[in-house]
Amino acid sequence: MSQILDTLTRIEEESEKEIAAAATLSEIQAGRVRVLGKKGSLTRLLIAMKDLSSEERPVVGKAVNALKQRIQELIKQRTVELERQEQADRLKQERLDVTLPGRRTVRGRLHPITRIFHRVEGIFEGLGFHIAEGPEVEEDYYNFEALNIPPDHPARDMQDTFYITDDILLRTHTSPVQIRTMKSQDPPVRIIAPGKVYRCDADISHTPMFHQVEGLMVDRGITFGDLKGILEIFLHEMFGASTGIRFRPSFFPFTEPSAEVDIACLICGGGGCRVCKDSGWLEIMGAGMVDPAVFRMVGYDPEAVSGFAFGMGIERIAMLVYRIDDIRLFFENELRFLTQF
Amino acid sequence: MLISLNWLKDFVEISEAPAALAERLTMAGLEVEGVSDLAEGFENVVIGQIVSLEPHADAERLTVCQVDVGQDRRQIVCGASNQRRHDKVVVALPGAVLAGGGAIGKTKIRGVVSHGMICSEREIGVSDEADGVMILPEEAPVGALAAEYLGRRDTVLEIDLTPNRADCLSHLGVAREVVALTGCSFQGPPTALEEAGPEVSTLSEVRVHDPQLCRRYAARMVLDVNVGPSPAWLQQRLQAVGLRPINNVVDVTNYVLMEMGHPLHAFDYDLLAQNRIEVRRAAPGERLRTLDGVERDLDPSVLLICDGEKPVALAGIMGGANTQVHTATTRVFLEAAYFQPAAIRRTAKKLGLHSDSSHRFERGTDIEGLIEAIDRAALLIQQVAGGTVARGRIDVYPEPWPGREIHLRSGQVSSLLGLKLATDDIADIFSRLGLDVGERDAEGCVVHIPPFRVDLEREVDLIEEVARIYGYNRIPSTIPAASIVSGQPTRHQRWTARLREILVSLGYTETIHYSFHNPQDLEWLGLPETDPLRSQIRIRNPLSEEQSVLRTTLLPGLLHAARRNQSLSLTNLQIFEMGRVFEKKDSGLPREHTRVAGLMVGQNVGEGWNVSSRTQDFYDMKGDLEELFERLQVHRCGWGRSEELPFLHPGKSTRIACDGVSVGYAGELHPSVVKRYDLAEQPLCFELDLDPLVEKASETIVYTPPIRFPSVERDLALVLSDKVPAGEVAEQIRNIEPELIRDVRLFDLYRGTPIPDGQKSLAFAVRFQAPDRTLKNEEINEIRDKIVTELHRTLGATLRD
Repeated sequence: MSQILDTLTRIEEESEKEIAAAATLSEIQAGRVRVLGKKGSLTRLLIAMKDLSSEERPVVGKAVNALKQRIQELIKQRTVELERQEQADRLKQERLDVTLPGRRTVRGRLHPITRIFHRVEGIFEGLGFHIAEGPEVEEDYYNFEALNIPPDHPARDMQDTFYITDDILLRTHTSPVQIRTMKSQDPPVRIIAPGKVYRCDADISHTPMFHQVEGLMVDRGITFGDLKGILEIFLHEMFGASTGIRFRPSFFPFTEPSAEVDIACLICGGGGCRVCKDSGWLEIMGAGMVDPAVFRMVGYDPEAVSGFAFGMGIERIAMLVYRIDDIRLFFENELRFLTQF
Repeated sequence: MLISLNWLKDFVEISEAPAALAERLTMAGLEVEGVSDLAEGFENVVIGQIVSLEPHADAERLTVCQVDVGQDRRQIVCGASNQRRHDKVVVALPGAVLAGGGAIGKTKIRGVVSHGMICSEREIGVSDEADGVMILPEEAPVGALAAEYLGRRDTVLEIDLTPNRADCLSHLGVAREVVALTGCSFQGPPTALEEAGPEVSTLSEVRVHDPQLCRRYAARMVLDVNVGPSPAWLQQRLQAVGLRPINNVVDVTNYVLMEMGHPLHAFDYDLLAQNRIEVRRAAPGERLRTLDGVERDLDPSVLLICDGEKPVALAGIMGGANTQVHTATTRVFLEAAYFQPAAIRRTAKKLGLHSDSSHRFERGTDIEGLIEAIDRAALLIQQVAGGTVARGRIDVYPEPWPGREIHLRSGQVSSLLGLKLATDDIADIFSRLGLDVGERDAEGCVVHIPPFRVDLEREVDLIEEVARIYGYNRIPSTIPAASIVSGQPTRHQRWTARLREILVSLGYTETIHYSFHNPQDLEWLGLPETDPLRSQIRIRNPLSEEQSVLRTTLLPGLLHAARRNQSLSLTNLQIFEMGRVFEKKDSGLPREHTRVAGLMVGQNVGEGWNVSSRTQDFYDMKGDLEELFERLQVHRCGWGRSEELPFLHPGKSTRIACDGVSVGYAGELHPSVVKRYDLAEQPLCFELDLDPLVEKASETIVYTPPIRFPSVERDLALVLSDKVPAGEVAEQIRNIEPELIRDVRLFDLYRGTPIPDGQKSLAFAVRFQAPDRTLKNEEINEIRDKIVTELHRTLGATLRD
């Protein structure tokens, strides 16, 4: 028995050395087979145990099993060590030049006008406004007359109009959508109308086609204060909560009182610069309380309901938000411009 | 409109700095667009007298002048030739920076030292006159500052008036506004006359034949005038507001126009045939040469001022050349009238003739105040041109102004503005505006509207005045007390937004083109004249022929964009547009269809160190459209031939149908079109009608649990006639056992040896899978055999060895 125990000690010593010296996973594997394999030294000892007496057998068995466990444990440890080593070596080898460019999937871009439309629409949808639409080729009636701009009114000079016939034209603003909406539904009304509009004007700061968003809210008891409140929410969402806002008296035939809405210049912050023509303010939209004449035109009773309307140019907003200095860029469709958005 | 602050101060006291006044006016709705100091550029500019002058030795055109500028004498080289010895001139000394931006220093011109410059009117910004230097009157004090002498100690406000504020188109009107805003006192211009000589009614006669268009016609006469240049103060005021002095009589009419806002006209009485005036509509074919020298053809819509024989003025717009006041005029016939605004506007527009006078008449003038205006003019003419004012006036005024009263409910003020004001506070605002408040109680008040406030007609107009003077920014902001609703976009709006996003995710960049085209574009697309797309709507007043018709297709816009980017060396392009096209109708409005169109040209990706690119072809675009339809959940798409679209390659294009409804086309551009648009490569394009697509699109997603049983893929290579479309073959395969064939994917297409001519080999990977069991090999083989037999029978296909 003592011989067997000696052998165990020897196997233990040898295995410890061997495992510690193994430099690769396959060397470990080979070592494992030598000791624990079918013909391994330890396996052979277990077989030899049958010759031992019944008193000796449990003692030796226990020792052999303990050794077996210990060797397995050593192998496991060494394997982990080697694997770690091997991974570390591999990672040392696998080195990319991370400054090389990545593979890109081709993605397009939305036009800046569309992006601004989405922002404006999103804000007003959150305030309960629906999106309304109307034709771009419009009747004089909806574009002018129903908006309290009769023929031969000087206000027609405010907008140079493209005509198709005497009474069909390209809409000069999105305001006719107000009329179409009110004619087709009873109050309350809460809409915005985004779309293309046309004016017969082309120079460095005008394009013959551009985009507007019109807004209209009609209900019982709507006030000028409400107009201010809603537009302040919109402008603060659009341009930042700290943006200064002011309302100035103005004139539109379809609103009374009418206002121009200015925001503090986004470029200079109000100190005066080229963009705001040194005034510190930027005209951003027109607005006002719906004129009673317009209500009568669409069959609403101006004594029963009141409302406000507003309109803004999308190019103007896009130019301010993205710091674009030439309106014509929006329609030249150069990729170098479009892919910046 | 330009407003001189000095002039304004004739009527009101202004203690504020110009910028503060400008701000105040702007915030009251009179938007001040610019404030200019007329003395700017006059530093170191003085009055000098030419003591002697001699030609420059080295330059024929130059003169060397010795100029007395007060303290000393300067040698100045001058390029003009109109100056003489002893002339008083304007001298810019070294250090001056003139209005035009020219900085003056001591220089040497062709070897001769020059200590400054003798200026022309344009150089100092007084007028556009650049011909020769400005020669001042003899009494000009040598050495004095030119700014003082020329009356440049003034500030001019440029006001952008809204069309409703006709009452502010004058210094007097703006002064009234200043009173309302600051509460300062007001002093109107003097109009008290000393009349002498005969009664006007004995000298002349006025007959108004159309009292609708001319509601009032008043006249005065000034006799024995001496027509000549106006005195300096008058010229300077006119120049300050951008008018050119002409002669003292005409200058006075312009002065009163700018001062009181009422257009006047002065005739040479002795040139009026029979010394009388008829106001009537023009006869057909009648003509008049106006003061601007243009011969005008008239028609009966035009109101004329005539003498006993002929037209002498376009009423309210411009006088005639035949009766204008000139240097020999001695008797002046002054007209002040009220013309109907719409009629003036129609005529001015028709003749394309816009004048200071028509601008005011078409916005509405003060029918009562014209008497003061004509008196003021007579007084001034007498002051600056001498003579006597004949007694009395002619005043044809059959229906005097009845006055106007508006009842204002205080409750209405608060319910419209959201601002509670007592009637007394409201009345106070009105009196500051010069409106008389009559009866008043807690409920409201009666307001008498003065005749110059043509814009105040209704209660709501008065409410605006309250808001304006109270201050928009003092009205508290509130949130409407309305029911809460959510602003959901409609299905159509959701899908158009989605569609844009999908195309962007597929690599297309959005473009926006003008809705108008060049009619030539459709010719370039090779569309015959009978094609419905050629039936375009023409704009009656286009900016140019290139932008004269409304588009019926989005394609040309994309082609122009491709061309433009190509010229910028951007040849790999993937762009789209979503927008409306316009279908002409026999009557009424056109039908507007929303379309989406795309264009693809060049390489699929930019070639990179680890990426190889290839030229995009039909199937790249088709793949994008397939993906698009899948995301819209539009499943039953047909890809048919499209030989009839002349702008597409007949063999590489398709008409797309969804559920049998045609929705558009896709394909390679026809080589002839490519050439006409001067494109370097063949682009691919598509155009889809949005409405049917959105109608078919589905937002409903129903989850199908994945089948847990394994699927098996078998390859199947078939040889068959080249004429059979691959899509048809795949469709037939699928239909043979739709329950068990999960997918049919073409993975190889081959023509050439050993395949016989006119035939091709199509290799499909067919995936089999049963929902409820694992398919056995025998089952699969059986189906496969069935496919082969069936396709042989219907398409003559054979298995490739």
